Amino acid sequence: MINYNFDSTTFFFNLFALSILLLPLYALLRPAWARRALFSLAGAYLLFLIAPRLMVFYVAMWVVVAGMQRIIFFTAERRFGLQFFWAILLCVLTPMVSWKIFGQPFEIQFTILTNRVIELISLPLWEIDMAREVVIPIGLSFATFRALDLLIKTFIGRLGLLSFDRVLFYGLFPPVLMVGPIIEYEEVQKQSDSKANLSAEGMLYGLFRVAFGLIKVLVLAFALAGSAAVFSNYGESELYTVWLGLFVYTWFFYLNFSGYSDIAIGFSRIFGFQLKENFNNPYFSKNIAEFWNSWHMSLSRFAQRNVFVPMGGFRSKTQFLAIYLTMMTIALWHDITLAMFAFGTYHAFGLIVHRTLSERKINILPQGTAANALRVLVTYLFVTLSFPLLVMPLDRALEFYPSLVGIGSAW
Amino acid sequence: MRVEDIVRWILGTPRQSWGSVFRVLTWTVLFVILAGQFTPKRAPQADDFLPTRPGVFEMFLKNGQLREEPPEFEGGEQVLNMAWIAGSTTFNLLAFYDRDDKYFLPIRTADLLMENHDRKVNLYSYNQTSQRLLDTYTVLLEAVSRNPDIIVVTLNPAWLYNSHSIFSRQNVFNARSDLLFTSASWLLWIGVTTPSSHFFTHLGKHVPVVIPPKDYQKAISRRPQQFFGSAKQPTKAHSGESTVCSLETPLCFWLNQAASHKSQPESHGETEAGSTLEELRILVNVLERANTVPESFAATTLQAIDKLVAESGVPVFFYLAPVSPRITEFPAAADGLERVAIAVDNLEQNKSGSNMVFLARIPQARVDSIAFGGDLIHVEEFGDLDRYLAEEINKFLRTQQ
Repeated sequence: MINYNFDSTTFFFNLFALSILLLPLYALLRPAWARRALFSLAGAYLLFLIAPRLMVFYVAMWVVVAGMQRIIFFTAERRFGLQFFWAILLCVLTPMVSWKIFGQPFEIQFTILTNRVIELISLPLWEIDMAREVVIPIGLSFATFRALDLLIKTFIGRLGLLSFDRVLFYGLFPPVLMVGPIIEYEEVQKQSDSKANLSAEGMLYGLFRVAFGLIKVLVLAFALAGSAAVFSNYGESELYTVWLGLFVYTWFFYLNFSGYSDIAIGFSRIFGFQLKENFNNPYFSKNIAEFWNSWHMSLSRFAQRNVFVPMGGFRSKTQFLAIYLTMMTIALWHDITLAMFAFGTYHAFGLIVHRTLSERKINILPQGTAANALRVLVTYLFVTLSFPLLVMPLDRALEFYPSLVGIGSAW
Repeated sequence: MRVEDIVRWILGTPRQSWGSVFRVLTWTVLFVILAGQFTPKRAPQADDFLPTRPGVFEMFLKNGQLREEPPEFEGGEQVLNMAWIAGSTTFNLLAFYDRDDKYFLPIRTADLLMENHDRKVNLYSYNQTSQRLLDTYTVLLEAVSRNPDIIVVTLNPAWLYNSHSIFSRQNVFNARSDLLFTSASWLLWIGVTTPSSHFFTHLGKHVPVVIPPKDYQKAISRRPQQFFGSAKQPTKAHSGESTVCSLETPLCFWLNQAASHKSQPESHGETEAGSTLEELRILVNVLERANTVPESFAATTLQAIDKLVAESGVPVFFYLAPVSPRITEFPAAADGLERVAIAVDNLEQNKSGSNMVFLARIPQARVDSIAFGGDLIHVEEFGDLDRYLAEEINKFLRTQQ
């Protein structure tokens, strides 16, 4: 009855249909600010289709972020600038962290509060919102990290003062609202400032990329979606079924997530925006560091820029701490649970071992195709074994793991 | 190989011009049109958990069942065409999951009707679980337009006078969105339609492989009242509820169900009849909040239904599905049920035509023969409800001759 999982496909179908109107308008509008406004309005409308309260919340959030950007810009070099900066970061993080910690009670309070705000704005809008069943702040994690990135870059001087419409354009950029990637402002800045750069090449590439994404999500991932049953049926399943289910699930997860990224990147390219890649064949990585450089790359890049480097990832004394905190940032971005703590620790351990072996130039395996294939296999297995932590609470994951060696399964 | 490399490999390296874009799009459209021409249509698939027999036809186009067309009603004096609009109260729900003795009340009643008629009874089933009043109304519009000999409508007492859940939203999505729009219904139009629903609706009209227009949703725009407007009722907090978010509004209602569901792990338990306590609790909550005031969504919609049936001249037999006598264990819900029954009685007394009947109460002896599930609404064993309904429908049909 309650829709916790708004269908991302519906979002992209709406974006597709909307683009038929949006594209000629975008091409015809001459002033850059008008095109930015068009994109912002499109993003707000797509949020309205999910639930009017989300539209109101995100528009308000990005107006506030624009104000914060101003404050940081003008206070960064002044007394108490650093304190202002940290206070603002905390403010931006609070909704997301509260959601991750409190879960459903937060969702309910968030929904009630935003719904009541809408009642004050417009009764018809409120009535429409009443009929929407989605009760989670969809896209909040992605929006929060995009806002943080913008503010951090302003503080360190990499971004100048941005007008409100530029911040709103970045915040409401339609293709990335639902499932990312966590784009940087620079990825959309150039195109938003110049004239519409619609090209046949970009159009064709974008269309094919969207088609690729749709095939991944609607054909391949859809066919593998049943594999999620392994996390509930492992007790009655034979050993090989549990392993097979786990392997298939990793592919479902990748195809689904990377498919949505393909669609978002493709849509952006149709309009002339060239977003950075979000996945690069992660399951064919030869080591765990390579894996994290090719899996959800926009999140990894965010963590590298804003955690790994500032925490001394390139200094020998602090590198391991930096690795651990980077992995924790990535893990806890998904959810603040014990399972995600374990997930972050597990991968940090893998990365630290890999870093140690690399620094000491210890090659366990010789060079060569067969050895590389084995490296890929070992890395994939290492990643696969962390998936139960990603999708199950810790207590259930701890029940699940013994079934991988036949304890508790039907074997 | 990166995705980008694969795309480059497919597209090749020749100059990519706007002509290329046009060519790709043209071939895509042509392919879709050709696929639409050569993909055969088929009849809607019946729910596989419901029993069937020759002469029983599934009329509901389910979401995702493309290329389907409901069958035409059979003609001739030797056939009694009976349409039956209902939800989950007409079959033994749990059989869907773990039982083999599947029972479908409309078929059993049609069989009994045949015993009393010389004519063969064809059953055209519009069965849809979670059917709400707006769904019933739109389906009735479709059934009436086919001019059957009789339409039977099962009304679920829990949801009938309820403003919290007025339609199963996905049934409205992607379904003739153009017909939803009138100047009087712009709010509903904005509220439930999306760019993709418009796109696929219009494309589907010309390229049927995309999605078939769903005729049973037609003419919803003819409804005379503002559905959403009637959803806003004065806020009235029940005891123990926060006045900030009482259960009188749909959103708060569902939020509350979700919250208390989460906070009561024991609600996942099974009752002795096999139905979950959670379902029972929700249905009791729903019945307590039956809103039968004349301005309510349900009351205004039922007035529209009354008018529709009277104008059509098609005989329509409405009956309120029975509820377990155990409802008395929940006094507030029992009060709600009584309000619903009185409201349906009033519909019968004030109906606009003699071609309809509203049956609000089923005799206690008949109700006692029924074995209900743990949620008090869904039925495990139907007792002689089929025979009783066949008798009443027969009586009604005789008055229509």
